[in-house]
Amino acid sequence: MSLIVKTVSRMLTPVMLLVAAYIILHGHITHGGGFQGGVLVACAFILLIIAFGIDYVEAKVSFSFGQAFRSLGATIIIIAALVGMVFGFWFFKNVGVYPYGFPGEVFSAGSLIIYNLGEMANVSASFLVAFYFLIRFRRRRK
Amino acid sequence: MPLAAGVVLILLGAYTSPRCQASVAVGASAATMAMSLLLLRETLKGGIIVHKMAGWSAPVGIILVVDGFNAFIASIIVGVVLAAAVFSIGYMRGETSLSYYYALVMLMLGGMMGVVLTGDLFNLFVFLEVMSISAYGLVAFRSYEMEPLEAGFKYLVMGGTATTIVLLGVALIYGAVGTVNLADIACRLRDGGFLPGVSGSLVLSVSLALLVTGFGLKAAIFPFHTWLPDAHPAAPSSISAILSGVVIKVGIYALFRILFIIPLNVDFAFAVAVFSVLTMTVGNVMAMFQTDIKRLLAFSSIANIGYILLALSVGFGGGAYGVYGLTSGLLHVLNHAIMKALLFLTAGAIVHAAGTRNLEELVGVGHKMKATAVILVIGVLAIAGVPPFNGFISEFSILLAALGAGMGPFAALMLANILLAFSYYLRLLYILVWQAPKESLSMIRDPSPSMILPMGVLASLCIVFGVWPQPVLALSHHAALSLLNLNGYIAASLG
Amino acid sequence: MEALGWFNLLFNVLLILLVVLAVIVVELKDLLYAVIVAGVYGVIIGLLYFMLQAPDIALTQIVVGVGIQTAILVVAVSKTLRVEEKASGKDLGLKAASIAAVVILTVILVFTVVYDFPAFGQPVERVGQYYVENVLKDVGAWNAVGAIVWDYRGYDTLGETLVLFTAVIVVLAVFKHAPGKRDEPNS
Repeated sequence: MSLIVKTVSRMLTPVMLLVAAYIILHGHITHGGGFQGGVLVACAFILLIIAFGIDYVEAKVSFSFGQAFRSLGATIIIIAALVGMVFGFWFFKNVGVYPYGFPGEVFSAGSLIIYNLGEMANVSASFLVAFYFLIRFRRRRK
Repeated sequence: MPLAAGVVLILLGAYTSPRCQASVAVGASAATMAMSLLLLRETLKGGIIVHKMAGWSAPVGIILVVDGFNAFIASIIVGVVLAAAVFSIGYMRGETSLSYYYALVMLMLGGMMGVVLTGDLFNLFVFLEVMSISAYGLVAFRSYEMEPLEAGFKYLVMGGTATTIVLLGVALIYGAVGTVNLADIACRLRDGGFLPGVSGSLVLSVSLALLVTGFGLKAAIFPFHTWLPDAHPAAPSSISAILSGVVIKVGIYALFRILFIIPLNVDFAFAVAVFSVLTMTVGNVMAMFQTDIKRLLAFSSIANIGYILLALSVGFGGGAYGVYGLTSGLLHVLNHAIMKALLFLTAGAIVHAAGTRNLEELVGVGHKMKATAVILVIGVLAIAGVPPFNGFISEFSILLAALGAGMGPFAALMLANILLAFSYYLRLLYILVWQAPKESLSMIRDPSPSMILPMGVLASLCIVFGVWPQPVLALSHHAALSLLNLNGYIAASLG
Repeated sequence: MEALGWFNLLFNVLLILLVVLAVIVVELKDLLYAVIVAGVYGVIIGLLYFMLQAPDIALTQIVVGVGIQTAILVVAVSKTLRVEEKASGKDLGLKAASIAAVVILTVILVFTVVYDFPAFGQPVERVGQYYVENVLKDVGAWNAVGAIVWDYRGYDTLGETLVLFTAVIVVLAVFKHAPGKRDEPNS
């Protein structure tokens, strides 16, 4: 890609990641949450892929790392929900097991932030892995 | 009570490592099996188990509700998946990306359990999606050939349409009554508690039509059956066993639940009976002309869905015969799951050994695979409805129930269908077991023990449930009663 | 009232634009253009959601419908054919007509039904009412949608997460035999 595209995406990517981090960490305070933020993270990486090529990005975030990361995300969610079940009897139990906090602060509303982070890991890595796969895919020769 | 969640959980834990291997899959399904049997025992005592997700009670949060009906179906599902998972160890040897395979099997199991155990319509939709998506992937798993890809794509298009339609139906119901909890919906509809301004019956008919269409597509009922004969043969045989044995039963389960929860002043019994007869006739007639062993079995699945539907329509009649019809229908759900899983596994073993699905090339294969042949004979005779086996009991009792409920013509048609089916099953046996073996088949042997074992267990179940049907009859009777016990269901889930 | 009038006007114009764009997407022969126009379509849907006071959905729609969807479709187009070819072989006229008839019938039925529903913005749904009133006390989250998604109906969201998880596994499993993964990466 041309120099302009490279420069712009180099500048844009941190901003996108920052917005994504805001959306995720404030998922229980303002709009959005793990899913939206996760997709935004994936978008940032896809922008990098478009600008610098797949090899550049895959050298930093490998395919198997993506696989591990998204499994990690799903596992986090299930474990957090299980903790709720072990200590609070009900699966997904939130307030009562997790601290209530002070509404409006980042660390409030109990386990929501954990779920949002887990979802972010799952969603962003899932889309990224699928995208890697799509780009690497070539039609079968017969 | 947390058992209900535990059932789902074990599954979820199993798939998360992408390197999940056969032993994990088998262990997880065995653990789930134990869990669901425990649940079944609990519900047999007459209780309805409720697990509130995050501790919120019914209309606000999601609840899992397990009554006799749920637990019955859940046990069948896990049993079949367990058998197929054990079978896969030998059968899938030599394939690549097995971790994906087992992960998808576990996800499909998780999806099915989610659909069956939940007490919430939207949650049902979500897990239906999990189940369907993994099913598409498993159908197309052998993607180095063209046929599975095509079949998987067809299944994807049809199934995607089905889930969309179901979602629309759920949305309409939510718009009309303001809740998606099954028990709450039933309660509201009974008391006429629509949201202000909503005039009831039209909304209900439309959303019910959408839901029935969607679940009917999943269950391969007559006008929507076209994906099944492509998808089921194309999948690996262990998956065909799961798909034919239980995945279509999940659609049937949802139909049973929904139709008994949403009351409507239409003569359901007649409509369902007509569709059931159409379904079974199409299935049986098409099965007669097949030269592909797995395709034949797939068409026979459609026919058996028809039998089950007929039992459902008898159930709508109410009264003693209604209960009897439902009981026999649920018994057939169990029996067909066992028989069809057995047959697909056997067919898988044969195909695995011989390398072809064409009946003309499989002539006399039974002479070379003695153990498989014995099991095959048991399975075929059972599904053909020959007396000492289990298929006879349930098919016969569906017939009796239909006769007793005054649905004579339908019963006659079903009898004709059974006889028709008998003819092609005999043809199958004649070709595979009776005729002298072809020379090209001289090299093949019986499969490995891990493949024989689940087949043997299923076959012995066929015999046991055939000669000693009282326990399973009692079980399915209990399941039918708890399906009809709508008030108890509402009280348990909302209370 | 004046402001609401402008609001309605804008809303309806956007709706009409949506229909026009949809037709354009279907009719465009160059699939790359079609994908780009579909992205614009996604932006407008996002705007509409925002105007209907559903910022969470708007955010999702814009991120997914414009970001990921366009990116994936562009790659898909680049891997296959860019220009639509004339459909060859069977004539689909009757089939297409019957499918269209069924779809139109369904749409009409659904619209007749939806017309009966309570007007927009009337908080008559009991469950929704409960969420709005109790979310701060129960969960302590300012974002009620987030609380519903991960607390009241967390199990559903877990299911949806699994759907994505499964879908990606399916993609990997089905296309595992793609040769591109192993041999030379460039080109």
